[in-house]
Amino acid sequence: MGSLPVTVEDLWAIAPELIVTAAASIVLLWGAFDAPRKRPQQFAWFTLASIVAALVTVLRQTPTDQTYFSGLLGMDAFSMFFSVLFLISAGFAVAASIRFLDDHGAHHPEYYFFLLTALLGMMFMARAVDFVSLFVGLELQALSVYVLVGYLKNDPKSNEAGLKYFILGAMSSAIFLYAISLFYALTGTTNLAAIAQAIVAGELETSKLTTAALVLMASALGFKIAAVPFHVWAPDAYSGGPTTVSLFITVASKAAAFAVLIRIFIVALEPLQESWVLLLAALAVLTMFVGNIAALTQENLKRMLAYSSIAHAGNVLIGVVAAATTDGDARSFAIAASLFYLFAYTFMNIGAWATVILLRRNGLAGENLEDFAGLASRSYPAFFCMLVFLLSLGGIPPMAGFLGKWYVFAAAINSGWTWLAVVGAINAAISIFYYLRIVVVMVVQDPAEDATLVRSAPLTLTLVAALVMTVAVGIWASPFLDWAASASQLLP
Amino acid sequence: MDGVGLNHYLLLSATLFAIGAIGVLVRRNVILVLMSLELMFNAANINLVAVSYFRPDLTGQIFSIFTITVAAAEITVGLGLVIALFRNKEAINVDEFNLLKG
Repeated sequence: MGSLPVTVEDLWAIAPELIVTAAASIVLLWGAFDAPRKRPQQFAWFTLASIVAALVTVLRQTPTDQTYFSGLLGMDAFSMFFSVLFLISAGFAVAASIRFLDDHGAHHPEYYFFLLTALLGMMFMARAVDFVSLFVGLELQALSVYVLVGYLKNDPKSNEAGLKYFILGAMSSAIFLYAISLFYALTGTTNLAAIAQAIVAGELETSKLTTAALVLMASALGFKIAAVPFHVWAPDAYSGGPTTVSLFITVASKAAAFAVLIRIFIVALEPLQESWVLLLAALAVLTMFVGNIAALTQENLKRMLAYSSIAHAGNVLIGVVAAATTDGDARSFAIAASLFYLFAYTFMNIGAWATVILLRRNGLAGENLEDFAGLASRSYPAFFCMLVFLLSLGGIPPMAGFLGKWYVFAAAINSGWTWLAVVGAINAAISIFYYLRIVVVMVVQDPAEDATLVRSAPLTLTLVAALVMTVAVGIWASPFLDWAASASQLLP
Repeated sequence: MDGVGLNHYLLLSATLFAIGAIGVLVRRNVILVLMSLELMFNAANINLVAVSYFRPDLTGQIFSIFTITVAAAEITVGLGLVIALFRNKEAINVDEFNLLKG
């Protein structure tokens, strides 16, 4: 009998994930025994407490260059950065959900279970250094998110969004898996670092197969980050699903997909950089233009924010492209710029979605542009929050969004992609149109008579925290930049 | 060992993958779309197992056990969503799901 292949070190390394796993199991079992389901809020508080516990655990860990579980998982500063980002987003999502689910008559413990399993999948995605663990983490996240998008059982829109997201998401997972199997055929390994070594050692014989694998990999990841032309699912999924879920997945799922994309392209496929970098640059340009131009004509605010989130993914892609074509410090700077962008985007986007959750009209969720009419006179604080989030999304100083764009464009110029930075700047200008359109509606138009605001303490807290962070990251950026810079050191 | 080699398996799986992808994009019946998805997943599995046999290296076979499990979970979620949708709207063709536009 050999010894167990799992060591105490391994278990300590995944302590935050273990906490989330335990919390998810407890929520599910507790929910099953709590037959009358009288106080669904207790599940929310329990979920929030376990998220905070996991967050504290992540912050107490120190990054290493070791791998755990026989080379399946890493614990580098990169993965810890993303874990913190996911946990913060999940915490915001839980706080924003409480009143929202009550109002929709759908406050069940299963919601929190799926939120926690999605979170768990994301955390594993960020730290996986092998295709096996990466794929399982990705699927855990994806399957939970499909259910969450289709969560409002009696709402045909939510059902339809869930199914559409599922079909395209599952197809992209299958393409991803097929690309992995081709890389396995080409290199004989599923470990990301070993794939890079095999490519350098010249083990790739058939160049057509390599091209096919690269294109499939890029399109599968393009699906996951909702890059154009693989974005068709995103507006439907984000606008049809529950608003609180959209709040969560537009930041966390997208960030998780970027973590995977950066790890695969910058670590494993870096030696093939010449064959994919133009592909990613083209994706970035298309994504920004299509996302921003489609957002201009939207009347449904959730759809507008969905297209805006597509456009923002294009900005992050600029950072990835910049990172691919440089080395050393310039590469670290470009990765740090992408990470900082994702971090800044998290708060401003959560804030904007949380403001949409506030609105209600005629007993229905207010999601259209006209529901924002006269917000400035109805509630000045809500108007002010939305104004700050929109200006930040549009990239206007001194908000966080401005610095995010600034650093990504600087990284692009730094590594010789000046034209890409120019395209990004043009798109930032286009995006200001539709963000300001919302501001105009809020100030100029008269409010509808039956429009109300749904206030609740946790949601207010979410808004205030997002507001503080959006401004703080913009004004007092250096600690966050340093953090992103330290997180740009990837394994190995 | 002449006869069936690794390339034959790769060709078989590429064919299966293409059939599955076309099925997902062309079929209107959701159940058939789910079956086509399953074909795409299993095409990748054939690759993994075949490469694992010819290399030889066990990772591919272990991986395929993981992916079979994941694919089963995937179909469960898909069927659950189809049933939820069918309860609200008695339809099974993807053309009829057209509430979300723009």
